[in-house]
Amino acid sequence: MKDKTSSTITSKQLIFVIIGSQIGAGIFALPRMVSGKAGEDAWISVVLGAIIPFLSVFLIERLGRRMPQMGFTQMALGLFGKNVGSVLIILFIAYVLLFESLVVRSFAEIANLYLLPKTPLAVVLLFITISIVYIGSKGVRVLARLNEILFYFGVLLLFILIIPVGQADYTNILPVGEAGLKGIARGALTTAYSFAGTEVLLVFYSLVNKQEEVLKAGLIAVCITTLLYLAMVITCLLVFGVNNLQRILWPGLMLLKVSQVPVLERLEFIFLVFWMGMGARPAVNMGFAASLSLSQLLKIDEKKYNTYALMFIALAIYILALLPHNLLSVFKLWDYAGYGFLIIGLGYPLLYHLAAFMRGGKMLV
Amino acid sequence: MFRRCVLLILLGIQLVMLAGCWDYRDVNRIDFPLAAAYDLHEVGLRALRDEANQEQLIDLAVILPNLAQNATLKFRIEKTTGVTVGNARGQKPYTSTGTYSPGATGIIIVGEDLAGTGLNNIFQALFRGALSPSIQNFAISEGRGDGILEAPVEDYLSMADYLKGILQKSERRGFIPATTLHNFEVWQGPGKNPIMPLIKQKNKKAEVTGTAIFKKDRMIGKANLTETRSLMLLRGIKATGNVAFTIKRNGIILDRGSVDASNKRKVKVERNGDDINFLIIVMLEGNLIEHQFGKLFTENENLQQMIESQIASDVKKDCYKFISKMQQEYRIDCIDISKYAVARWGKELEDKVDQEFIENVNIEVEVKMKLKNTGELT
Amino acid sequence: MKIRPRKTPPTADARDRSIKNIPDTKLPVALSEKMQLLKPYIEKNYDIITHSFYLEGNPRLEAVAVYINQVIDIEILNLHILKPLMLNCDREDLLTSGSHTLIETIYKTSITASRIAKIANLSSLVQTIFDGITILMFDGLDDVLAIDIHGGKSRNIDVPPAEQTMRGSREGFIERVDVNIALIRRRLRDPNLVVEKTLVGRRTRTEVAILYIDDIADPQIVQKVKDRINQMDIDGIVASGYVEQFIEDDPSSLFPQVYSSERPDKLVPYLLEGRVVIIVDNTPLALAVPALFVQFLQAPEDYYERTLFSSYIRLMRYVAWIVAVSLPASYIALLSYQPELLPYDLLISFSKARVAVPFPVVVEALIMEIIIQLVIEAGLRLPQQIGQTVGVVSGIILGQAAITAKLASPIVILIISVSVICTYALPASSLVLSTRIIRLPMMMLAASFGLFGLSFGAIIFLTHLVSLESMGVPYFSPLAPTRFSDLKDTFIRTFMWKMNKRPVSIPSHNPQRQGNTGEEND
Repeated sequence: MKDKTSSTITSKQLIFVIIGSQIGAGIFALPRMVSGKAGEDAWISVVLGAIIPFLSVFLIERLGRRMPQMGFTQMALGLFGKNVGSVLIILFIAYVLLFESLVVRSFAEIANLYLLPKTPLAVVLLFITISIVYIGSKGVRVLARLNEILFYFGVLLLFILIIPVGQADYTNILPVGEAGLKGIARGALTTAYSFAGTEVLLVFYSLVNKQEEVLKAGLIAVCITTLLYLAMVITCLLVFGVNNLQRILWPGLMLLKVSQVPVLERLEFIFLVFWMGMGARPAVNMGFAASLSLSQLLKIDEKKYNTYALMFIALAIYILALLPHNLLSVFKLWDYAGYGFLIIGLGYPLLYHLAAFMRGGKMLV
Repeated sequence: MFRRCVLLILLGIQLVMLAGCWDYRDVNRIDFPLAAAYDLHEVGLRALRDEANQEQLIDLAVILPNLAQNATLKFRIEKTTGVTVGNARGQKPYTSTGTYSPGATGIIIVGEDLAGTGLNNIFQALFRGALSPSIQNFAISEGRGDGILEAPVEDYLSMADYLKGILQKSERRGFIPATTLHNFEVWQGPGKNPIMPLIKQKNKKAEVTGTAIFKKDRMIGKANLTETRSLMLLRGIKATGNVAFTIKRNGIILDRGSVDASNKRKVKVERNGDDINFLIIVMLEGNLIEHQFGKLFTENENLQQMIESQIASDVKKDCYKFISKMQQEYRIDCIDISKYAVARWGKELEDKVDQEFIENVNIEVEVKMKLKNTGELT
Repeated sequence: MKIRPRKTPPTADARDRSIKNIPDTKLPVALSEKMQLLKPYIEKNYDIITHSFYLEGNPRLEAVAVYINQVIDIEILNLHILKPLMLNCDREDLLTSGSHTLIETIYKTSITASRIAKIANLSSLVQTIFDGITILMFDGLDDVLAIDIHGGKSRNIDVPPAEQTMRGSREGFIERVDVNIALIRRRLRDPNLVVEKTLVGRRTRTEVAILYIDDIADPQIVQKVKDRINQMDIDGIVASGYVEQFIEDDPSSLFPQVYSSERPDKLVPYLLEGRVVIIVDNTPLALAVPALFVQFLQAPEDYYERTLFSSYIRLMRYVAWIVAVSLPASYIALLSYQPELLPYDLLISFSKARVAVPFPVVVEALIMEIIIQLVIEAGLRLPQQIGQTVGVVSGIILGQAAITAKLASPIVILIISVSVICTYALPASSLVLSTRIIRLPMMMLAASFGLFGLSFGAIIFLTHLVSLESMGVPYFSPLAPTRFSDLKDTFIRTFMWKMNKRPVSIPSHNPQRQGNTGEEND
């Protein structure tokens, strides 16, 4: 195959890459987490929470527009010099490792809970890691195409969510505004963490072929994610009510158990079978971004060694994912990953803008 | 080369796994219960078990199909006893072969005594298991639940089949509430209380005798069949069933007959200071099945209207009767109207809606009956 | 990640030398000397016939015709070349005016011999003889004439046995490349249709024709095809499959990346969409590149039948492919890992059916799968009548016996049979083969991890499909990358008059196909 890592993706595919990096296993737990903070007004929180990813996309896009030819690592090295720049890149990679290990771990926990209760977590994780490496080794174009087709699969799957709407009770989301500004804001922050994934644009910006369309693509992606989250949260609220939601570990999956479907009888397993591609997807995208940054940082031949860098990243994710004791500690760590998102998704572009402003167009390297 | 290595490693792992992995279960070694019954263990028998010092033991009876081709009986009933539901399941290996897959159970019968002690603790096991669906149908039995499973049935493969037919989607066949595990959970929200169908063993069969009224997870009362109808109508559970009418004028029976009616409801809530007024509008719509006194619709123009208003007033009377019983005897909201008040006034009501709320509100009922179709005869 | 190296093409020189070390000597004038030179190369071959004859004159001019028996049309040689030469040619004329007149003469006197060339050296003389071209040598003339009168027996144009249709042409390709090209030419009279010929194979020197429409096909793809064919350095090819394996992008993939067909009416629309068609001599199967995955699920009837019906059938084929790949695997996964997922009554009847079978579900399914695969293979090799018998016998008796012997449950026989039927409902034989193989790893994965394994297999295969390319064109388009304008001819087939643009998935530099607006002209 031709030039793998330096080949480009279209701005349309960028939409799917961003969506793919955002939606992971977290969507199933989101209704519980948001409604725990914002109660009946969880849906308002979801809408408000989308502001942060919008902001993140906007800032990163402006940054890319300022220096259109430069990749993420070049930018860091150019703006901050070799030492500080390297630290920034390593921090980014570390964040990806932490964040994606949590994504992968939650996904493995779901698979373990519903599909393979007795299989050791290490084995389930191994298979997820293998698919990460395999997909990533195919290069960015294949990654983008895969994100594209998985998105359509995902939309088809989310149609399944319509089935339990027959059980909905509209009084569950009334009265509006009960949680107050504080509750809604706290819920919005929780949602904002679930939007983590827009930072993938930092690396992917330089890979897009029509860079003037990046902003549009990014905004569309965040809009679609918001809509999907909104649909999930509202459906769960309508079907379960706030009080019940707090008792359910993965409300999004429980949703599939409440209605009887002729012939298939049970939906949640079918959903999970197809979810495999989608659950590992954020880890694939972000892992690829991290491996690209790593091989650029080490100044090794991207074409030749990107797969090895990816294997290293995947291995690190695998080991980190095995570390948390149980699901509870994973959920706790989610919050830290959320702060990480704020730092990487908002802090980094701001910092870069500042540095670029100070440097006035001159680069260090 | 790299790809070949990965392929080889994968193939190797595959071959190792093929021998049977952690989760492999032979389908013929799993017992899939058709129906299960939970009961409080009888006091006199406690001494028979090791856990005799426990305050409360639970009996679990399940109907399992016999798969072997030359088995004389189509099914068998296995009973175990344990401290909790899960523990009772866990006793199974000592008394029978096969692993137990509770997720397949479609029907769960709970004994009256057990229901009176509160069911949330019991149902934890059903909910927590990721393999169980939330669509299992529930019923409360008058008397012991395992008695119903043991009732000899001749026309059906087993009692479970019969119960499935009678309980699943029962509201489509008559005014019988169908309650699934999901319903039971959701109906315990603020201002809501679950109900369940009540069944009783009678003449080699089980029949529906009414409704069990719950205060949250604890059964506190029973409603008979007439009351069940009013309950269903007031609660707004969409059902279809037969409603009889008798039109009397000055002590003379003018007409008698029945309609198949489906219901809908609308609730309006208003508030004056601390007084809360509910208006429940029950809308019935149905087809005339029969009317006996040979009056022709073509000759009696207001006959249709008479039937409609007769049914409406009958139903309304029943509803008021039920509401007064609810407010005085059950003292909980089993017609699912408090949620509208909670939805309107939120936090302010949410905390007190479950304590002495329904007794002090004013409930008005309005019944509208519409005959859609009077059949082939005039 | 190419495993097979692509080298620079060997020069024509090197290729010729590699055949035999024939000296490049200029041919002498005297016939006996020519024969002397030629003798070592042809004397061992019984089938090379040297036919001496005399031309009129005084003394008579000696001439020799050299040809391979049954490769040329002996009728034409005798009637239209030798006879006129013997009767009409004069020694004096010939020797004074040289070979040029001779060619003129043959042109004028012979009807069929249309391609005549002069040969001046030994090495090309020998090669020409072995290429099946008739040689005429004259005493006193240093030029040797090569007349292309290929002939001999070949199969008649017949119904293609593997790709029959209800509607549409009954003609299938045969083993003669020029006939096959003619079959396409007859259907496509565009002056822009280019037919290029090259020789492939050091020893077999097989003719390979590359066809494309000049103003539609993407020049890059055409160039790529030519390059890859020219890079083939092989001593012999006897079928188009050889070429296919040399030009495909990923040889270790399970999926076919070159479309092959024996129907000219299938290839003409492909040419019109901007694809390149490769016809190899001695093979009734022509190749078309770039190939897309969806193309293997489409049949020519889709375009011959009316829209609604063909859309329905096409959707059914997608269902058939998914069922063929995943049904046995799902059965294994569901029964040995997630039985609760099945409806209760179905579960009990499955469970009852296999009460007596002592093996795990996977073993049972694998036994049946292997038996059926072998039955199919046996049926292919056996003569047609016996083949059918074997099919029936294995279908009924083996299945029944396996149930009675408690080797398999009736359900598993049903499952495997359904998946086999679905496999053969696919229109392209190359996809049938890959589907038969893919089923196995899916079954293995399902047997070791249940639905999780199935899902893992699905994502790996999906990634692989998405990453494949055929001549640099994404193989899984128009699905990924999604090309919405092409979806109207993917799962369904819209109305003919609506397909005004050529598919975007195949690069072409003339996107407009037709100009129908769908409105009636008053």
